[in-house]
Amino acid sequence: MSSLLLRIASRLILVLELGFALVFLFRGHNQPGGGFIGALIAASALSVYGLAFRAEPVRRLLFFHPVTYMGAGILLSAGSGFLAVFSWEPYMTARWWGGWIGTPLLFDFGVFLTVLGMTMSVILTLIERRDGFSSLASLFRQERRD
Amino acid sequence: MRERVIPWLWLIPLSLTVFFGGMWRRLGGDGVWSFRVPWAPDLGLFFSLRVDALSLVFLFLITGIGTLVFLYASGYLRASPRRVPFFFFLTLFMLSMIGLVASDHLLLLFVFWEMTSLTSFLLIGFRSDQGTARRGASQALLVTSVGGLCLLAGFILLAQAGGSWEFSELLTRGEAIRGSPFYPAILGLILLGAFTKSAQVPFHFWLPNAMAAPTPVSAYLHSATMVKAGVYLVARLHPALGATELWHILLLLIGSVTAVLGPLMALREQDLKRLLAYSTIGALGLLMMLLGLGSESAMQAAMVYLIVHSLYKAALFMVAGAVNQKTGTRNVRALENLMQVMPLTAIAAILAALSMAGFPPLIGFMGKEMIYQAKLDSIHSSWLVGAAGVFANCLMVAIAFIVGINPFVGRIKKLPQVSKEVGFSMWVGPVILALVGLGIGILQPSSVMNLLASASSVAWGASADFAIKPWHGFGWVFILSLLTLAVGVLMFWLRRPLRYLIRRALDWEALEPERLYFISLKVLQFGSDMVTRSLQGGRLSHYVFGMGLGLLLLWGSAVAELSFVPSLSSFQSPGLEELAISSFILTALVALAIRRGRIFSVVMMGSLGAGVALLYITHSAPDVGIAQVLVETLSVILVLFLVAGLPQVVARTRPHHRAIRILVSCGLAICMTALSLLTLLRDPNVDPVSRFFVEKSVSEAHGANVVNVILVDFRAFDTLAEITVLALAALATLLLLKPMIRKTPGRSDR
Repeated sequence: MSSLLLRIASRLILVLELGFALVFLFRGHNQPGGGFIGALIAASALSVYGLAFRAEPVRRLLFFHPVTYMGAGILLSAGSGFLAVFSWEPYMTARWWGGWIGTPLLFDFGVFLTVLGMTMSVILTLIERRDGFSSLASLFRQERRD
Repeated sequence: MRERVIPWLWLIPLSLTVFFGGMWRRLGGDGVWSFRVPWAPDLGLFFSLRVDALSLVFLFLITGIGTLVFLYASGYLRASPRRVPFFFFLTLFMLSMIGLVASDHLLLLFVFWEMTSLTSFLLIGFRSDQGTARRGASQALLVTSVGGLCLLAGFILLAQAGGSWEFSELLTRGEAIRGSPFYPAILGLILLGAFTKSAQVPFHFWLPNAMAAPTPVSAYLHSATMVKAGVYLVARLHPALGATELWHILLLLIGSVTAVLGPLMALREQDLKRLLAYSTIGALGLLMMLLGLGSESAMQAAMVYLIVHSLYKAALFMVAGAVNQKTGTRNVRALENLMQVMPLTAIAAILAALSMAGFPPLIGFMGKEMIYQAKLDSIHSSWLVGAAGVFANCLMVAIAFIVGINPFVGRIKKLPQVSKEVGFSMWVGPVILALVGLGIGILQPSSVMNLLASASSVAWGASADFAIKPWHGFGWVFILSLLTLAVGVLMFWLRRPLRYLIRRALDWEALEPERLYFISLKVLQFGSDMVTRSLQGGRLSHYVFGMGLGLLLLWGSAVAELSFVPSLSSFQSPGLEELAISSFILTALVALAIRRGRIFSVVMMGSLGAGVALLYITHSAPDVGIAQVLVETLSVILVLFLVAGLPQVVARTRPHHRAIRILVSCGLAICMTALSLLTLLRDPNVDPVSRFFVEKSVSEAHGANVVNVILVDFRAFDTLAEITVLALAALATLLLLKPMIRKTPGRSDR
């Protein structure tokens, strides 16, 4: 199922889209983008890479288990709100430094990590299923006949 | 490393005791320390703490006895491999208990109340390999949390009636609350919560079963502190809810029944810890009864007896644990002459038992004198209540002899496992508690007396400071005390025939309300089984149908409620690109409806979504458009894999089912269309929510992308909840998918 074309293209796509994802994440507050969208871009790039090379290289690339990303993301998002608490303001009051970096960006980064971890954990598990690829291929063949 | 800290953990409660001691010195009699931080001020929610004399009495119990229990537990669990989690739970319990008695806000108190239930569950079930521990733990949790729910309902009504969530205001509005039509419901619900927590009849059965916990837990939670939370609550709310007919009747009735039945049931037992547990039930009943008497002297007696009971009961539990560890048994008939082997423990046990029996000059004597005086004084007390109290005290004397004195004296008997005295950490706790009981009894230090007097005046609600009179001269009270001791000793002498008599006199098994608990558990299980079976039959089509029906109801009601009729004249003629995109979407739709084939359908759904995303982008919602494209891409990949894994069989549906499904689908389509039209042609008079966000986005949140600003700033809390749900859903999916990988034989893919 993984053709030469897909393999070559997926590498290019991976590098490009991961860069894109970061750009979208950081510019999200003022232009289209944000943590959610950034994570989806990164996840789709990694998924295509996974479709071409199977799950193992993607896992190596991620380094941590995807579930770790989810945990870290929720911690980061929930934790970013605590900064305000230390100066007796309600939880999640935004804090800004220099008009660009602020707790909302941290929060968004948490969203990014969570969504990335969530998508990748499910997709990688699906790719790893022993009969995942073969049954998909047989379904393709069958439907082409119909 | 972590385990080397454990023998020193008792320093935490000790330093807290010292801290509260300093606070008491600074506050004096009717001083109040308060602390308030807004939590969700718009909802009237504040993290507000308030410490007065009544709280301080409990705080000293929690931290003072806590110190000794921590010390004792470090010796008791020396060999346990799970010491670290144990001490974690124990510390957590201590902190939540401190929060419970220090909180000023009803909801805050409720949170801490439930936290003590939870930590109690974890501690009772600590030996999770034992069935009794697991059952005892879940029983305690279920009973106390059902009570907790009642309590929450009562609190809500109380806050409605009193116009405030905080004790500091509620306690001054007693008139209004007692006059409210909800008063009986408020009182009933709150008392239900207090009764379940404080193990009053008929909810008492969880306490003896909780004895499956390690002994330090029984000494701490199930005699000295947690079970007293109900007593605390009733005493705390006395100025707001007390002094009505209903209050007296409920508390006196339940209290005296518990006070008599507890020790009676105790006499059936031969296990040290179960004996102690039933006598704790009796003591808690006595406390409730005193609170129900509704006089100043009764309130003072309650405060003194609270201290008395905590001191001797915690000591006796620690002794029971030490005896069990050294001899291997807790059966009172097998234990004799332990004085020879463990003299220090024996001294502590005998002193504690004498205090329990009420011998002068121990603190227990003081407590009993005051109880009798209160009963003689009270106008609400009938002779029946008085007699019940005296009878309960006689039984307590007998139990004190059985538990605390008999095992340590007498002839030499063969013990299952004779050994020498327990280690320092295990005898020092009971010895200190017993000596404190003796010291307070003899010296009657003014600081302790003042604290108890101020606490009872806080609970009484009047600011008048009255002094505690522990000695009432050689009057009626003294005669009653002597009579109690004499009858109690006689009962101890006749304990064997008495036990036989009690066991035979009543059919205890049939009376035991625990049966009701098991029956309701069965009913609950059966009911949830039925619901689960009918709702989750395992057919995907059923689930989809159910969701469709639910959506139809929601949307249908939304459409039906709208009175505004849109005029189609406001439509503009579509541009070229819109026409192109629409025809693309329509083509995909028609293809989806006509052709079968799973992969084809998935791909068509994807292109449909992409078309909609294009529409978003052309209509200046690039964020939503991008997200839509990405979601569609990923879901095509995901669904392809899922579809490939599904079985190839297609379930047959009956014609009339099919008809219903088609009807629901058409209804959904109509509602959706109507709703989208209505949203597009919005009533110009209605102010959309988005205007606020659009206006404030740059000025308040420093962001020009409104969608993103809403997500990460204005509505960040919602987003946090959403990503949490997302992560949980992903974890559940992983758990569902994982077994499929492991089960498949043959080579692995990795």
